[in-house]
Amino acid sequence: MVSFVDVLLRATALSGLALALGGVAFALLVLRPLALSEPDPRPLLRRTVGLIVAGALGVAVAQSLSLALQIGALADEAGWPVGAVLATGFSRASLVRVLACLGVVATCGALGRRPRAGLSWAALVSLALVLGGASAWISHAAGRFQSRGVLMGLDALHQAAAAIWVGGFVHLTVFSVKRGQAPWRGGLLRRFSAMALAAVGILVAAGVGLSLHYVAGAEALFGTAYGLMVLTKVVVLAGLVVLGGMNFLTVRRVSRGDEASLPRLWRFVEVEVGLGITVLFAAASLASIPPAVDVADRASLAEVAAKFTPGWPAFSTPTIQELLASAAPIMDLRAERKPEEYAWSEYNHHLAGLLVLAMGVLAALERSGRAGWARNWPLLFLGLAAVLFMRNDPRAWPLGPAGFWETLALADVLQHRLFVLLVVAFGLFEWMVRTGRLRSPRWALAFPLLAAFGGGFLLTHSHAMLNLKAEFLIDVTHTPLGMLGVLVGWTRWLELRLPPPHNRMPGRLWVLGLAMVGILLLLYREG
Amino acid sequence: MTATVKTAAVALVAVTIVWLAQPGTVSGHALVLESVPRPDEAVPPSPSRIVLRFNGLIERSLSRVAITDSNGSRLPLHPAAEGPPGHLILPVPALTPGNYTLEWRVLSADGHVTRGSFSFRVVPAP
Repeated sequence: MVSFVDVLLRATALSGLALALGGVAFALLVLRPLALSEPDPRPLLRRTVGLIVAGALGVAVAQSLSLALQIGALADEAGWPVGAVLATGFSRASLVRVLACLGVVATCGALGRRPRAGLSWAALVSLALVLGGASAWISHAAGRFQSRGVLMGLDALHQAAAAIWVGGFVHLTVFSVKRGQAPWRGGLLRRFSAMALAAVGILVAAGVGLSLHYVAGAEALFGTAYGLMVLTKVVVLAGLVVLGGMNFLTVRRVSRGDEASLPRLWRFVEVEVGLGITVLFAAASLASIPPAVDVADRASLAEVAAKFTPGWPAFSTPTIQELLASAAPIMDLRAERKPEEYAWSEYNHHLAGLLVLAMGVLAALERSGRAGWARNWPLLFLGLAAVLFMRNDPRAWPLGPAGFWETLALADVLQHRLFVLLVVAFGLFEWMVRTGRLRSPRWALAFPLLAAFGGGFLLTHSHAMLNLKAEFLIDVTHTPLGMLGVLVGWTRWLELRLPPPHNRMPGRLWVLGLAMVGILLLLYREG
Repeated sequence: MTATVKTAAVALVAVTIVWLAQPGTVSGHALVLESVPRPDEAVPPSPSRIVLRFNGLIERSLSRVAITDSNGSRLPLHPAAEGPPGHLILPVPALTPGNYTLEWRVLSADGHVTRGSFSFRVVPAP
């Protein structure tokens, strides 16, 4: 549980860093020409400065909690090693980050009163550089034996560029909301486009440098959790670059007075924000996995390929008595999994696959307009929730001997229970939207948002520590499911947010994606 | 509360639930690249020291290592203050023949706490 919370805190810190650094870059490089021409730039800068403060506070809180978590994780019968932990390089870097964040907050306060104060802007930039640089001291690079300085430099550049790019999208979106038709918009978009392009270039260059050191070979790329996470980041980055490229062309057209594609630009920026956050979560997860170059226990390409070789689903399951007789108690986290457990899990996935495939088919029928009753397809989520609740943790209540409350102390079980709640809420919610019981268009956005982030989180989780190769071979089958979840979420989002006829293709894509999730679950193999 | 704020709050709660419901990431990436004795090795006679070589810099003062025999008796080991970077060198008292489990916990330089274990056997001298 501690490890899981640590990753969440690191992801929160990365998101806060994006808001803070992205905001500083946005204010200086994109907004500044506008602000200088205003008699009172404070209204123009208010939202941006507010988000910078929010980001800095997010980093400070997350970093402080992370440090406290580490102290707690190291506590033993000898007591809490506060002094020893505070003497480590990690602690010093954490404290520097927290102080830099507090400095950012104070400087933003000064800028709120005197937005033209050059010294305050210089201080803000300096503090942002310290914040970005200190990030490298809590990365993999800080612990390497060789090329430590080079790797830390590349890491700092990579993190800063990612923060400026992703954070920049958020700032652009928030700044532009409710501003309507503004004459300065073309110039602002051009400057943002240039900033984003530069950030992508630095991010990719530094990322390639880091990957050459940490991955070092095709077998490491395809046969380790670290390599898989790097590939995930690359694929999501490719999606961002495609959307960014389309927006770049739109910006050029806007500069020539053609604003027909402008609504599509803003919808694409919304998706870019979501994908950017997904990449930040992948980065937090990556920081917690051993670099591929250090992992000797790798899956071969043939073993990975075998996981993706389709096989006919076997709709049979061990009985609960057979499972309980063979499996170790649920609290024994180190026990080796038995064949009955693999068979049980595969059956769960196949059953879920049937239900999800049915959802995809019914959603397609609903779209055809020929089967109005098919709009009730979200109720199948309730069936899925029932299956998950009963079968996800067979050694716990209601099927197994371990009690409901005692098993909530296990991270896996707690997450499964929360996931069941999520699926129930998801199903009821989307059913109410489709049957007109919830009429506001905003409520319809919940389904794509949850699908996109659910898929994104599935992409970024890893079990690769206890038994590196065996757990990786499970993780690798989850990756296409996560990708499809992200695809379903964001194409459904675009279907809802784009005007017709631009929303037709996204509408077809998310229904197809949902059906493919069902098919992949039907073909899932674990043993 | 405006509709926009309500929507944002609902979205934040939903995303948080999705977040919490995800399978956890097991953190920590300090790997033991090499050890003396090796996992499952039979060593005759008892080793005078145990050496663990990690894949990155670790905080030696915050490392904890212990061996447990087949009766469940636990013996903490204390790393030598000096040693090559990324190494733990642990003096060991004479061990009677039998099966032992070594458990380690370290703090890597980037702040991850990692745990691991392996077994080895002490066999009588030939």
